[in-house]
Amino acid sequence: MLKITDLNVAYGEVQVLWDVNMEIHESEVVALIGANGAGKSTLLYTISGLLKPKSGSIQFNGTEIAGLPADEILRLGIGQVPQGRHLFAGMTVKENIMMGAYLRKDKQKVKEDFDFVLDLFPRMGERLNQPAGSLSGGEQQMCAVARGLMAAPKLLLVDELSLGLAPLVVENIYNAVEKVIQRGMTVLIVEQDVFLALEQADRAYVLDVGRIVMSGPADELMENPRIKEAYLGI
Amino acid sequence: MESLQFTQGIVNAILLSGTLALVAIGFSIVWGILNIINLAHGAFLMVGAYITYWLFTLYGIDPFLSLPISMAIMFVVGYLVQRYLINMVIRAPLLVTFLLTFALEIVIINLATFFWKGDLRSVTPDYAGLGFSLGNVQVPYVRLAAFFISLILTGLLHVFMTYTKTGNAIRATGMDIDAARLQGVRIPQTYALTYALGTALAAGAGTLISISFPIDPTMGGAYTLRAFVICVLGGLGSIPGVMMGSVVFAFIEVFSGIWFPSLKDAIALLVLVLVLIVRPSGIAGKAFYH
Ligand SMILES: Nc1ncnc2c1ncn2[C@@H]1O[C@H](COP(=O)(O)OP(=O)(O)O)[C@@H](O)[C@H]1O
Ligand SMILES: [Mg+2]
Repeated sequence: MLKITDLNVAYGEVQVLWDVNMEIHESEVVALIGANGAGKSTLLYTISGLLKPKSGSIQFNGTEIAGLPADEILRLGIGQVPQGRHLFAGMTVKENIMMGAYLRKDKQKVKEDFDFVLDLFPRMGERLNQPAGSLSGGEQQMCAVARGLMAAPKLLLVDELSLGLAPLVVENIYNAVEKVIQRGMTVLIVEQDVFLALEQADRAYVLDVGRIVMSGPADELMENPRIKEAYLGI
Repeated sequence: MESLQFTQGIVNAILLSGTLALVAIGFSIVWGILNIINLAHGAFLMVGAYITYWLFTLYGIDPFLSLPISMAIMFVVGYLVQRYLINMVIRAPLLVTFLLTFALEIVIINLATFFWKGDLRSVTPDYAGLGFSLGNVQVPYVRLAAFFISLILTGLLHVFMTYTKTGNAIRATGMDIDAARLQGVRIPQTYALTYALGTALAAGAGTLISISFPIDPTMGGAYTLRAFVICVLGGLGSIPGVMMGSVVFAFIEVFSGIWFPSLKDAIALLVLVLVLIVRPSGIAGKAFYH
């Protein structure tokens, strides 16, 4: 579904990603793990078209998307829940969620999806007319996931959903993600909470200072002594 | 006598606040969403006024009927100016776009002076001088009509921004540009559309102003300054804030004109300095789009 080949990305002169290769198959859940500053968010921004790569290729279902405008990449079916939520703080929860469906013309399906995300996060239903900026951290994250789902992407990229949230809230949000996965959505999970990510994923990649240093089935990585030591603190 | 002047002042201030709101609202969306302090705003207003003047003088088109024409023409002009001129430097620091719109203002005014001369001109339909009296207070029909049209246009903009997909995309872009891109909003087009709306609103205000007051190529500068002060008063990017700022400003302007006539031209600057000292975030509180 997604095939990244020899991808190099830089901010101006400062290169952040080096020869990244990665593959995601349909209906797969893939985790991308790595320390703070490794380049995970940079990779997601590049996939979504917010950053242009220096070189390399990103293919999505056979189409070259590296360097395409963000709206065309979304239209092809790659959606993202960015790190830090990036809600539209002055808009209501409902307006935020509906912005996710900005490009969609299938009104009936949009309505169904709206009901689905409210089912997933009943708390959002109670807050529909509140400004998103007034929500608690956990509620903001739910709103961001709901907005991401409203694009009905084929591949959903989620970035650090657990960041700064209490364990119970994190569990609540990942339960929702699990339901989405069960419906067959392909998901790339980026997490600093490595245990959480590996628990969800079929396969995983480890990014270290801009390079993929390890990859494999999630359960194998979970048992890998280097992973255990470096990321799981066991 | 004192009390008549006072009542007339209140009526005049209310009538003025409508026009000022229309001028300021376009200035405000461009500032709030594109982060551009658009010094050319008043120049677009002036061109709108001249479009109405020429349509009336050459073709006898009623000035109120020319409102949609002047707005539509300047909408297109605004779109092209943003898309193909300002867009080139949109990522540049605020000062660069500031200077660019300053240059744009000068060019437009010079062209207008060259082609249309610097003379004062007036749009004078048959009904121009008509009005009615409330007791001894005079209310000109054209100013009353201009007031209501300003309110309607401002209300329409509010509805557009709040209830349409495109309006929401504009607001979203002003609040978080990366997040807007991730929802599929195309930024160059959205910026151009926002600038076009601001320009059309300026032109609409110019049309309405030309029916009540004489016009000349330099008329716009004073309106740009007032729009700026109103945005600071009302808080950036909030339509209700701009309405409130316009009312406050209109009352200050009219009554300072009555009580201290010699201060008339300095009043906008004085208010600005006072607001910045007393309440730097504006009286309506925080910027809404940021
Ligand atoms: N906008 C930016 N400009 C310059 N450098 C950046 C920018 N964003 C991130 N970086 C740098 O790129 C590196 C990777 O950052 P990021 O992709 O956010 O890592 P991660 O998501 O894995 O924590 C870091 O060294 C960070 O400082
Ligand atoms: Mg990150």
